[in-house]
Formats: sequence, structure tokens, C-alpha cells
Amino acid sequence: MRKYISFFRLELFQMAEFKLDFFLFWLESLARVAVLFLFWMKIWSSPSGEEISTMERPLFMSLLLHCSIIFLPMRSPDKITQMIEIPVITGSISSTLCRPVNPILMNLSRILCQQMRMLILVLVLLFISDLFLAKHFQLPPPHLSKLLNPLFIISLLTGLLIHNLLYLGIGLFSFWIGEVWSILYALTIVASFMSGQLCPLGMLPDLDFYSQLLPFRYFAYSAASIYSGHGHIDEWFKQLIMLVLISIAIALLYKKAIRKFEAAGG
Amino acid sequence: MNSAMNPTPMLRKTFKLFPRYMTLSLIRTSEFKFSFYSYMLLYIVQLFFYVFFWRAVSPPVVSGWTTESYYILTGFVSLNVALQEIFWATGIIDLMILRGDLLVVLARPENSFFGLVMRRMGAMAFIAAFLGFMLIITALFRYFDFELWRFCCALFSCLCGAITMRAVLLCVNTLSFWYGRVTALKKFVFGGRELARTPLDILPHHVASFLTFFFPVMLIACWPSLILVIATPMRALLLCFGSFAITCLWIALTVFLWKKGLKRYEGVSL
Repeated sequence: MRKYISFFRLELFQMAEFKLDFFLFWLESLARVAVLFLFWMKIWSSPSGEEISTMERPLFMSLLLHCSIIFLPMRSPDKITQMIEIPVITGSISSTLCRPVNPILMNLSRILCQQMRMLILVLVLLFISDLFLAKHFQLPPPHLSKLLNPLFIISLLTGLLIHNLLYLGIGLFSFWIGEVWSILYALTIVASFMSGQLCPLGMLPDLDFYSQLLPFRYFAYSAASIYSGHGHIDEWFKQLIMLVLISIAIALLYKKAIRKFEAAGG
Repeated sequence: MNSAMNPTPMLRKTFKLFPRYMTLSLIRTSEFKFSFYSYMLLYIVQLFFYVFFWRAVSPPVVSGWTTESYYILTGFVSLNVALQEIFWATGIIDLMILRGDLLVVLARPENSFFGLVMRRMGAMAFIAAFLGFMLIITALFRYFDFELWRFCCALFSCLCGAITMRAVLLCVNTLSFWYGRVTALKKFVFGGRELARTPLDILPHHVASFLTFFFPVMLIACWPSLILVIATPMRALLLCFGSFAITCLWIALTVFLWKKGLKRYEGVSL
């Protein structure tokens, strides 16, 4: 375990170098959240806006905003995939494989470190968004107990694990096909719809049902629904089942990938 | 440097090289069958899901935006982004400046600016352009009245949008003459393009103005869609002219920055 903590620490030092990158990343991400929110506000405030959903307006808006905010640390899936893809393509994965570490777990710990720092900002943003929602949609004012709800925190971390494992798993495909960017981007597009970033999944019952069978919903929407009071412990159980399934799939895929790599003389 | 002194013949030479650059780009990107199929897959998934999304949501009419006009918007985003990829792929100019590799380009008998831009063209994005164009045409004939002048104006505005967005990116790239690494800013511009997938003109006035002049994502798909199916004839013409004016301003700024930067580069390294 200690060796993975050291990867975590190393990554933390490296990150501090790119302050501008960090600032602009947040600026761009927040601009996207703001534009999406303003768009749906406008739609809702139109005379026929109430007809578009069976959900109540405050719940719709809080889910949309919270989901978009929780999604912010997961905005660069390509970087996660490249952690496996690039070493495989360049052949430098061999040196990692010689070491007594699992490359998937090693990279997972690195990514988690990057995301932990962002999570603190996410919590701050959630608090601010609650202030805004309380003012405009007559929702209860923000409270620390809501932010520090253990179920919400656990759901948030489970979502991050599912997200990171899934995209690391896509990176494993590079053992067979080399570059995996097209699969990655196609999946990212599907994820943007099925994860509730563009509109809350509860708005469309069909989408809501099918999204439960795919992993994307569990990235941020589960945590957002628990935070908004819409989801309960059963949502987290579904997340947990998905996490177990993805972990098993990745373990199998990794085994096959290594076997293929060894057969090819790596 | 040659291109800065007498740009016109160099420019002509560069445009002569255009078909060769395109052939090279096509060969490069279709070397493997898988690469070709994955391009296809990506573009089809992208268009399919956005159309499916707007169809499923079917938002109420706001400022003239009907569900069908969202299909047109999606088509224009695809067309515009594809045009940017085909003709003005400028991803690595800043890195060339940083490494000092620009000398190789400056020594060649072609316009350095356009030569750099065209060498990295992504001809495979023709698939996305075609799919986007087909979506626009299908939605237009199925749900709206076809008016040739509007269609031409919308395509012109879309082209202006593509040029403007690339001009913005080139401005950012050119900043590396002064500031070195500009990766963060580049990512900001790339990411910001995604805003174009929503009808930006329905946003508050100050936000819409900012997204028109300072970060002109409005020109990517919103204005072409407005011109094609929503705006009155007078407004459509104004928007078309506006697209052209904004594009000219951004091109002027880009060329100005490029020339200044090149002088600085020569002063430092030659």
C-alpha cells in the first residue's frame, strides 16, 4: 500500500507546477456548467417549459447543477486512458511490468490524487450552488451536514473509482489495437448523454431505465441524486455492483492483455 | 524572412501545394483500415446521439428554436468542426516555436503562416463534414422551406465561423512567441468550442455578446442555424455580414500577432 501512496505524493508535487493550466481548466469547466444551466433556465421559464418533464423544477435544476459540478474532476478521460495507451504504444510498459506493481493500480492512485484536490473545490462549489438554488428556487439553504453526509462522500468516491477504472480499462485495448482514441471519444459522447450531464436522467423515464444498465450514470449522477435528496442507499448499492463488475472485467482484460503482450515478445 | 517580406507569391505557392498536402493527409490517416472505420464510428455516434438527445428531450420553442432547428444546429457544429480540422489543423505551431523548429519552415519558398497551417490538415474529417451536411440538408427539406439564398448565406457564415475559430486558436498559438508554453490556453479554446452545441443566442445579452466578439463560438453553429431557419430575411443578412466582419477582425489580429511574433523570433534566434 505504501508504494501506491508514494505515487500519490509524487503526482501532487508535479501538479503544483501548472497553476495556469489549473485555473483555465476550472474557468472553462465552470463556463460550460454556467451555459448549460442558463440554457435550461431559459427553457424552463418559457410558457410551455413546464411540460418538458415530469420532474419538479427545483429538483431538475438542483440535479443538473450538482451533477455538472460533481463531474468536473472527471473532465479529462483521455489523460486517464493515455496513462496506459502511450506506454503500450511506445513499448515502455515493459519496464513497469518488470516492477512489482500493477500498472492499473499504480495509475489509479495517481489519478485519484489529482482528483482529490479537485474534490475539495467541488465541495466548495456545491455549497455555493446551494446558496444560489436557495435564492432562486426556494430550496432549503445549504448546510455543512449535507456536504459531509457519509453516504454522499462514499458515493462520490465510488463514482470516481468507476470512472477511472473504466477509462483505464479502455486504455488496455491498446494492447490489441494500438491507438484507442476513437473508442474513447465515442464512449465519451455516449457518456455525456447517459451520465446526466446534459439533462437529469429522471426527466426521461426510458433514458433513466437504460442508464442503470450502463456505468456512466454512476460517475456523478448517483452522488448528485444522493446529495439532492432524490437518491438513497439503493443508488449507492447499484454503484457498488457496477464497481465490482467493472473491476472483474478489468482484471480479466488485464490478464488477457499481458498474455498477449508476452506472446508478442514484450 | 522571405514570407514576411513578400507574402503574395509565397501564398500562391502554398495554395498550389494544397492538393498535395490533402493527399498526404488522406494517406496518413487511412493507412490502417481500423483508423478509417474508427473515424466513421466516432462521427456517426456523435451525430446520432445529439439528434437522439434533442428528439427525446424535444424542448419547447424558445426564441424561435424548435426541436427541428436543433438538428440543424447539430449538423452545423459537425460541419464547422470538420472544416476546422480539414483546413486549419494548427495544433503544434506553438511547440514548433518553443523548440525553434520554425526555421525549417521559414526557409522554404512558401508562405510560412499558411504552410504551417496546411501541413497538418486532417482530410479524414471530410466524413464528419459530409455527415453534418447531410443532416442539415435532410432536416431542411423535411421540416423547413428551402431558400437558396439563405442556404448559401448559412454556409458562408459557417465557413466564417470555422475560419474565426481557427484564427482564435492561431492567436493563442502565436502567443508562444512571447510566453512559451500555451497548452492551457489552447485547451481552453478547444473545450470552449463545445458551447456551440446549445443555442447561445437565447442566453442573457451580455453572455451572448461575449460569445460573439471575444470568444466567437456563436459563429460556429448558432448564427448559421439562425440564418438558415429562424431569422427574418433582414436579420439573416445582417448576421451574414456580421460573421464576415468578425472573421475579418480576427484574421487581422492573427496576422498582426504573427508578424510581430515572427520579428521577435528572428531577433532572438537569427
